[in-house]
Formats: sequence, structure tokens, C-alpha cells
Amino acid sequence: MVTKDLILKSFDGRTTPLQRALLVDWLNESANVEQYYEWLEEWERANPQFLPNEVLAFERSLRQPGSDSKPLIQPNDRTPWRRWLLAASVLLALLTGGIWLLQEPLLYVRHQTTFGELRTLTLPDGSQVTLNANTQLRLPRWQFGSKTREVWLTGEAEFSVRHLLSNHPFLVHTPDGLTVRVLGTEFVVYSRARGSKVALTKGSIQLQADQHGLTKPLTIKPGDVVTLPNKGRFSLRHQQTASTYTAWKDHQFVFKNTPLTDVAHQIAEQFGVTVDVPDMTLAQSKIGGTFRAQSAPELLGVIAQMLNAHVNKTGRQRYSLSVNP
Amino acid sequence: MIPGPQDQPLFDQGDLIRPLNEHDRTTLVVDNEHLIRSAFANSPEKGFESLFRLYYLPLCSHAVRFVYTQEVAEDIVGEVFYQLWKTGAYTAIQHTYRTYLYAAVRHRAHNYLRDELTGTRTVSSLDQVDDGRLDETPQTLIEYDELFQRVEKVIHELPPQCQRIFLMSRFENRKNQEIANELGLALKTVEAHMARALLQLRRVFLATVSILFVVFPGLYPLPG
Repeated sequence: MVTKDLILKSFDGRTTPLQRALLVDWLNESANVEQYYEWLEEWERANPQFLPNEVLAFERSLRQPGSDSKPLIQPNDRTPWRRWLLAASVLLALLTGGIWLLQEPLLYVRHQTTFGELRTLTLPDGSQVTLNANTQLRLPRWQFGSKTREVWLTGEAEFSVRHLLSNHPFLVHTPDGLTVRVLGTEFVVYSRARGSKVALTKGSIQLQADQHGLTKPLTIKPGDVVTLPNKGRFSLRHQQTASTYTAWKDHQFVFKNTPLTDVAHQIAEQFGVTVDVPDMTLAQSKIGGTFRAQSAPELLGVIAQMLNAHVNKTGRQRYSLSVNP
Repeated sequence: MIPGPQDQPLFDQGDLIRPLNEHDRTTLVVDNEHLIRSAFANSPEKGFESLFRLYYLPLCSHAVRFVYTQEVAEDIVGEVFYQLWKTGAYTAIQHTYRTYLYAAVRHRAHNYLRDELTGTRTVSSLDQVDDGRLDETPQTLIEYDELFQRVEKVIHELPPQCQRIFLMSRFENRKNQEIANELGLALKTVEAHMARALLQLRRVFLATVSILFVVFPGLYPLPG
């Protein structure tokens, strides 16, 4: 079987003659040639040999010396010239008129997961990001990995950042002004209405968040968890179990003496449903354990059982937990 | 529906949490081909600029694997983009821009190396290539891969001093005299190292080329 792995190995020159014969066979299919170039591109981006200055190169390409020294981009004769002018003015009008509408989608790529969906992305610089449910990641459409490595996160994601030869830092911004600065490492960033949280599993990273009293960059170590509540100062805890913060990647919920109200919050963030707990005593009960669930009713059912309670569906996206009589 | 009692929670397994299951992951490579297409539809200039910015770096990085000179790699990629624009070939791309660009760059890089190592380079030899009409067989694709791997292997296996001088001369584009001064060597020594490196490359290239000649006798017109 010809797999991506085999193709990538062949670029590294790690294939046997038999495998190469297999590849030649596979490449006879023209659709596979496209696939081959796509993986070549991916491999090349992951293993850059040098980083030319493409801004300069583009400007150079506008004035290509050689047989004809005309600028590379210019209209050729008269009739098309008028059409170009018209096209240009229409484009200009569109651009100025809809600048706010156009600017964002032109300059940035958005990745959005819905409730209950997990997704792993490979960014153009080779870094990997796993998005938790109900999460949005925005990154520059152009020159990501060469000019800049900045992303904007709302929700929760695990980053596995590739260290680049150029030592370009990778920056994660959240809406509440937190910036995580990193060279190459693995960490989880959480940023939702309740606040932000960063958990580091490997390497070292720097955080800065003016609104939370972190005006100077704070460097944290693996096992450290920094919590930045919605209002108030940050707190730093050492030697936390990293798996607690990455459990969501496996559709797992880890609770350690967690109040039911907090559990309800997490269910709301993950699945987009509202959970009501009218009984005050029940609301204050604490839950411990690791749960695997891919839907809200699944998780609620298990929790209800533990607490000797039952779940009622009170609306389309609304559940209520009450004590068994 | 609320699940039945058979769904037991996994109590406090702590560190026993399973690693990410490979099959659950949907990997999505950010692909801008369709955006480039719509950019070209709106304005060829914008489309061209987007195309250039998207592919220039990886293409140069790929070309340098063959030619081992940053400047030449950039020239080759620049020429491919220039031809794409000048000939209006961007309106008639069959498959993806990626395929067109990589095929053209690899073809030109290969030709450059061939001409350099066999001493048949002419001023116009690069302009005569029609990037849009490359009819590459699977065999050629694999042979291009093997070629840049062989180049890498040759350079990797050069004696340390020879390798250093070769990289300074080619990759960093320094003059022999400069290298001699910096390393405290005689100019003749530097020249000898360079000659040795090029000889190794030539051997490897001719070994590959002979295969290509057998398969595609018409593809490589001999000079004279």
C-alpha cells in the first residue's frame, strides 16, 4: 500500500527499490501525482533548507531584467488597458467600501469547531494544534511561519509547536489580553468567558497578560498551570498532572473534587447546553473521577447516577438535574 | 437519551489516560489553492502576488536541494514565476498551481545541474523551457527525488574541509579568494577542494543522467 508515510520516507531517501517500483506504479494515476506534489510541498515546508527574503524577491520579480525590461506586472496594450483600469477601479471601490468585511477573511484563516467536535490541524510551519469543542483559532493566511507565527485563540487548544531554524517565536493571543510566547514546545491554552488557563507539558514558555497583573513576562516550566480568572490576578500552581489538562483531547473529563456547578459550566462550554441544578445541596456536591463522554446526556447520566439524582430534558438544549425522591 | 447503567465512569485513572488515538484525528493541511484561484479570477495581479507569496519559500528550499546555491535556487524559482506570468500560462493551469510550479522548478533545477556539471550551459538554455508542457512520467518524478538525495549524499560524504569549502562557495556564494583568506589556506588548495567536490557531483549526476537518457532519449537534446 502506498501511504503518506511511504511518500514522505521516499523524499528522505528511505525507501527500498521495491517500494520505489510501487511508487512508480502509484504515480501512473494522475490524481496521485497531485497528491504526490501536495505531500512534497508539506515535506518541504516542514524541512526548509534556507529562508530567502520573499518580500524582496517579489519586488525584484516586478522588475525582471532580461530580454524585455518591462515591469513584470503591467498591462500590455491599449484595449486591455482600459479594461484593467475599469477592473482596478471596481476593485478599488470594492476594497475601500468593504474593507472591514474583506480585510479579515483575506488576511486570516479561521478554524472553528462546533460543540462536541475535536479537530487536529497542521499549521503551515509544521506545528500541530488540536482544537477542543466550541473553539476558534485564527491565523494569518499569508507568510505564516516565515514572517510571523501568531495565532488568536478563543476556546481551548493544545499546541505542539515546531522549533524553527530561524528561531521565530510562536505567539498565542487570547481575547482577554493574554499572550503566550514560545519557541518549540507542547502546551494547552484555555480561554473562554470564565477566564484563561495555560498548562505546559514540555519545554518552556513565556506568558504576559497586563490585565491580570502579569505585566512582565512570566516563564513557566513543565507541569506548571497558570490560571487567569475573568476578573483578578493570575495564579500559578506547580507540578500539576499534565494529563488532566489534555484529557479533553480524548473526549474525557477529569474532575477532582469539582463542584457540580463547575461541572455544569464545563458541560455548557463543551456541548453548548444549559444544565440547571435547582436543588442547592445537590449543586454544591463535589465530583471526582475521569469520565469519557461525547455528548451532554451521556455525561449527565453518569453524573446523575453517582449523585443518586436523575436528569430531565427541559428544553431543546437544556437539562435539569434533581435528587431522586 | 440517557445511557443505561452499563456506562460506568472510569474512576480516577489519573495518568492512565490513553494517548490520543491516531484514528480519531482528522488532519487538515491548510490549503490555499482555491483561494488563489478566486484571487486570480478577481484580479490576475493579486492572484499572482498571492501565488508568489504562498509558494516562493518552499520552492526555493526545494530548488536548492538540487543546485546547492541560494542565488541560483532563487533565480530558478523567479524565472518559473516570470514565465508563468509573461506567457499567461496561469490562465491555463490544468490541475493545481502547486503541481505546475513544483514540476517546473524541479525540471529547471535538474537542467541547471545537468548543464553546469556537463559544461553545456548556454545563456539562453533556461529560457527555452516551456514549463507548461512538461510531460513527466512517474519514472522522472522518482528520479528527480533520487537526484537531490544523491546530491545531498555526495555533499554529506565529502571530507569535512572539502565540504566546508564547497558550502561556503556554493551555498553562501563566496569567492574562492575570500574562502582562502578566511580559512588561512592557499587559493590553490581551495580550488582543489572545489574541483574535487564538483568531480564527485559530476560522477553522481552522470550516473543518474544515463538512466534518464535510456528512458527518454528525446528529452535531453545534446549540444552541437
